[in-house]
Amino acid sequence: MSTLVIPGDEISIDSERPVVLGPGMYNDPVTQRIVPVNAGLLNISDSKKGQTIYVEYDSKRYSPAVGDLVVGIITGAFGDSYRVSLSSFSTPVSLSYMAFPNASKKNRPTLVIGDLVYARVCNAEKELEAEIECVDSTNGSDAGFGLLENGMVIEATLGFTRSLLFNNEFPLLRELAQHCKFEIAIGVNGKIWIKTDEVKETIACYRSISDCQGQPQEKFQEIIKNYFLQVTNTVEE
Amino acid sequence: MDAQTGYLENVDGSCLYSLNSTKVISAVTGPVEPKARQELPTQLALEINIRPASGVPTTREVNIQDKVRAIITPILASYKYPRQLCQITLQLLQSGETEPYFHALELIACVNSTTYALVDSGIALKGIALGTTVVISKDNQLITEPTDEILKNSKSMHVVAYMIENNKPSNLLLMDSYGDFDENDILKILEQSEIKVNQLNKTFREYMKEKINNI
Amino acid sequence: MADIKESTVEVHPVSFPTDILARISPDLSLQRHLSLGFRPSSRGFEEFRDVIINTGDLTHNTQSDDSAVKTPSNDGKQVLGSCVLKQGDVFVITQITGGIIEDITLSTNDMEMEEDTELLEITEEHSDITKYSSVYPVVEINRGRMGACTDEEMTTSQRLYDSLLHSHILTQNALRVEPGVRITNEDDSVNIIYPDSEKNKEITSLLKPKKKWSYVLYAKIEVFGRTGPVYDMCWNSLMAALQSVKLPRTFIDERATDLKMTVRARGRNAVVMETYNLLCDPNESTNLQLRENCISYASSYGAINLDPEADIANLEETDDVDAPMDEELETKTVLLADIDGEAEETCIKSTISITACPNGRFKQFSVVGGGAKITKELLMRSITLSKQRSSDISLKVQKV
Repeated sequence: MSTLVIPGDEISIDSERPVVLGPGMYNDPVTQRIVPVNAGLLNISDSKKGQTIYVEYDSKRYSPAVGDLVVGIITGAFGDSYRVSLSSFSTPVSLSYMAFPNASKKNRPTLVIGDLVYARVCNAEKELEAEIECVDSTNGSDAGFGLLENGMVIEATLGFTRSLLFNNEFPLLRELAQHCKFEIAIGVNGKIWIKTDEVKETIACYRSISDCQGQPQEKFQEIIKNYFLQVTNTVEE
Repeated sequence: MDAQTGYLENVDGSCLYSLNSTKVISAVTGPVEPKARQELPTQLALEINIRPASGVPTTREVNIQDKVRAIITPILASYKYPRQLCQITLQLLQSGETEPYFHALELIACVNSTTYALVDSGIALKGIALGTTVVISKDNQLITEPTDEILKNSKSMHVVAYMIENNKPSNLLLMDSYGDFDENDILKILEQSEIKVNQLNKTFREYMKEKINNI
Repeated sequence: MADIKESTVEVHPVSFPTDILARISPDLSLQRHLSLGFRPSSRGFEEFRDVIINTGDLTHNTQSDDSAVKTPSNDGKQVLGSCVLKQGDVFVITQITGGIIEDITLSTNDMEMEEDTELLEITEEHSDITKYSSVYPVVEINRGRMGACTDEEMTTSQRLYDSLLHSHILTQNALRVEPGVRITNEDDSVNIIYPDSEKNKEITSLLKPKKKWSYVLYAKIEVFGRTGPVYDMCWNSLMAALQSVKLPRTFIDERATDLKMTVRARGRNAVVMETYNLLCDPNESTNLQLRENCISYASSYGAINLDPEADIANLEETDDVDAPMDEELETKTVLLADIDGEAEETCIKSTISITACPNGRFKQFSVVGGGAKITKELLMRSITLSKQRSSDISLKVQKV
């Protein structure tokens, strides 16, 4: 079920059962009221353990949350960690040298300032500096994490990147795959990294993804086709 | 009244707002890293900048800033963002009032516009703040959303802003009155502005509904 | 998680002297005081600080009986009115200075008001804001350090300006300069004729130029020893100072008026104005005409929710039944008059500031409701108090 909520609205909650609050929900420390703090669609799901409530809303600025997959830019290097920016002007997060696969005291990662990394948020307390890692510490897998070489980064809204990453029905990537080969890393912090064999294809992908934002899904095919036509034409001329 | 959110590309939340001939763009950025002197250990710091439609900011703009801050601070869920900063910039495009004499219309445009932009930015809010201007004319009529001409010839003018929680005005956030009036006038003004704010709230909800359905 | 050892931590109660606790935890300190029924300053909830007002002490124009002592005017800039106000530990010193500017906004209503100004003023409460004027206040809060002015100083100054303008206390007419003419008689004696009597009026209107001048008033308000919000003190001080303002009379030398005639032949342009030499009379002055029924005085209030947990007396009683306590204890909101002190200023987020005339009309009213909910009852109570306070202060000013 999803209904529109505005910050401050009353939400009917079964107070007898445990409640899990997701994004967009807040328990006011003073009044102890549970209220939505963002405008969006309210989702309440019931499970045996309790009720999960969150608000689905779109925004541009990313706040770290544990488990999120993000694309970050290395902005500094310290004795035992990198400083990584997940979105411009936000408080940077840290990436420890030990949070890489096969890391040891001797075996240091070789990232430099300006590099892009694909990582997972492993610690996000609001009072502390958030931490990210290039290996999934919950299951030890390291597939896909780490340095992102070459390619290009597309900035998008958080809602759009979530759709790309989690919604298997979302047709954009499937449509794109019909035109060219590409590698992609989607960070829910609103950054999408894409790499193709040729520059013109990268440009076409970049423009297609940027433009499909905020457009209905039926239009995707047409937009993508258009851009790929443009780049192939330019080269032929 | 007309509002359009997401008007600016490079900020987190923005709104182009116009009411009669007052027009303002608001831009919200946050939560971002504050300068050391702005940082609050447990709360979200708030920085508000108002740029006038012409000329450089003066004490008049500082005064409006102060009032916008008084209205916006209580609606932010500020303990959710310790040591962070929310920056609000308001650029007046058209004043809509005789600037040396008044600031009521600009103040209300700034407040309402900021509310739209804050919701657009996704910063956590405990409620929303909406306000209106009411004047008492020479013949004791109550007029909401006056024009400059009405302001000039009014007996008293009042700016009222409410916090809206659970779809209704819950708390008086600001009342700022100048002129000549008595306590019955104050009660009448509060009543009248509550009705008006309810209407504004309805418009706000409809706008948000449409915006979210479009995604 | 498993290897966290249980360790016992001994907690020693830490105690602080009252004033240190008040700085560390102003909220707690304030709540404890309030639960005992008084405020940190040991005032009652609705008790104001005492006010002492002295006006005119710093004024240049203090009439000296010795006519030989004639202080020359320094190009129109001198203290025309003043007030020293002491409220609690705070001093507010207001000095009103002035200048004369040429009135270039010669609107049509100036012309028609020429003759029956006074009549108009009595018969009609006219509201057109362009007919009123204000003073230009500069508030300076002294904290023992230099630097750019703070936001508080700027907002206070701006609020004073706005409130004064919209209170309609000063008409543009009251600030109009009515210049006299200095005439050199045949026997070389000099005397100045002011347009006071009908006969003199005729002479001056013959000689005086068509140009108009206005006084502008500046108020320099200095606050010493700030302990809390200052707006109401600044307003009251400004109000008292304005009532003591004496505007110097001005005149034009006969020769200058002669000069005028020749220059006027060339037509009206900017060059003409400079030939009039407006001089201030060191001996003569007139009282600034304020609209008496618009004189108003300000007071401030704060609303705060009493924290039931800070109520020690109650807590001890209900200690045994601690379970349902939270539900039953209703938060009570109290009104505090005349906010002062660091604890009150930082903890009270809901404030009411009222500028009231002794006759019960209001000139400025502002409510900020960031904290405790401002109910109708609180508003009404503060309104009643503000009227009393306004009458009190007006008596004090009159006594001076």
